[in-house]
Amino acid sequence: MRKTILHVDGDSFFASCEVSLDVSLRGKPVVTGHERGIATAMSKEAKTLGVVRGMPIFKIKKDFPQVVVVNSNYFAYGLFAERMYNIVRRYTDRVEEYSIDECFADLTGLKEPFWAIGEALKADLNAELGMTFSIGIAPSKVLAKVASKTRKPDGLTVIEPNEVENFLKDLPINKVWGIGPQTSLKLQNLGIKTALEFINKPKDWIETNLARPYVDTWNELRGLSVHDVNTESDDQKSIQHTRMFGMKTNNKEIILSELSMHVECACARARMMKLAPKRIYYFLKTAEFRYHRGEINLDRPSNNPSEIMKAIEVSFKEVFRPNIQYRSSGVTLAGLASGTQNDLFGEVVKSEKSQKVFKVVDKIDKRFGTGTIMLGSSLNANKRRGNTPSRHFKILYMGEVV
Amino acid sequence: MTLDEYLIDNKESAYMLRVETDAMQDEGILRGDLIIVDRGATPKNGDLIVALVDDSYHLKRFDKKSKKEIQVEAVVKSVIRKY
Repeated sequence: MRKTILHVDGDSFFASCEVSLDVSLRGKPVVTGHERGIATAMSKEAKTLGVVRGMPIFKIKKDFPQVVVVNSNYFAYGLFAERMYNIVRRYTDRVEEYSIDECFADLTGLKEPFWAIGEALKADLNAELGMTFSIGIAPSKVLAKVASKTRKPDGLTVIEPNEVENFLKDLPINKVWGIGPQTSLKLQNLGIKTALEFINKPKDWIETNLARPYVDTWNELRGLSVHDVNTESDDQKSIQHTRMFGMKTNNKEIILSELSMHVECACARARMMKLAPKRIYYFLKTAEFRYHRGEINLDRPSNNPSEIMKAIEVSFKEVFRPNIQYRSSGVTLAGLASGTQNDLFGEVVKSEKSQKVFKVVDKIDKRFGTGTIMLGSSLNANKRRGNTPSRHFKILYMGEVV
Repeated sequence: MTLDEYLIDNKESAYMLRVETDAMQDEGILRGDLIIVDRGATPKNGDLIVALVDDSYHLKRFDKKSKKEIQVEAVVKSVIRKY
């Protein structure tokens, strides 16, 4: 069945929250991030002046003295985000709280015309939250993101399945959700500049030249939904592992190592429950509480951390941005399928071998404490707990580090 | 029933404001009171509303027949006063 996905994106969200709460700011150029010393969000009036995200506050004050600079109030932004999700839930309960200023909803099967739902939702959000949102409706998540970006701010764009090409013909490939700077450079070298040129390549060309996640992106851009809307009810059937970094960091190795540790812990729990995930979600949370996310669809369910890390390392290049400070990370194993230990990895001999390895790992962990033995890629993250694993950890769950 | 349920109709569109005027004391709303307003509600004739006048909020009675264009920001739903 063809899907219909809606994407909601708050316009200048942090700045809009400030304006919504303080009528005296209305119509003025407003910038948030005073406490961090850099602009974290700008109202459209501030954008018009030329203020961009990341601009130092002292420079803004000097160059644009009329700008109102305020401290960020993440508590308030979180409340507005909750209200946004709840308003979207009036139309469908299949809502994914994607980030503080964005969410997805699955409209598949709803009776009303989709543009009517979009207009009604937009009116509700605008009136009740006192700010504008841009909405996109399309046959897949990636296309819904394309749609919501088409008209911004305060826009509503519906991409019908037969209009996809129109929307992609002038869209630079690097503007597609999930295609980062490295891959767009590679694609440009292969002669692909627009999203339309990308989807017009045959599938085997994509498979030959790019890693697995980009086949998903290719399908999604062609209007075939691969990425499901990840609702909370799905979350209950998932295993999550997250934690804050010791300090803010943009060190790629440290962050990858944290992810590796999360994958190992979550996989250990999955193995204990005799489950294996089909989908992996991971996130990096920035110092500004924005989420940079990656999503991986495995060919077959796997609770083998090395296999999952291999896939994460590929997509990580597109998710991680070197000049941004991150504060925490996490991994979610979703689409959990049960199966006996033997047939889970039956297809591949290599996997069978590593399955035996992780059976032993689980035994050692059980006997000597979690983290006694780990992937080399998790080493950095585990160093934070001391060089040698203590045997006095209390084990709450298998895979849970206390 | 909780106080929230009693005082708030629509959780997503409810906001709290502190009254900083004596103009509404004949209506039983005093300076220092908290009012809960609904930003999404459509005002009916005679409703207490928050209107935007000269870039600031003002409490008024909504008058449908009034010729003066006013920008309605929210409808007042409840008043809270603490002694």
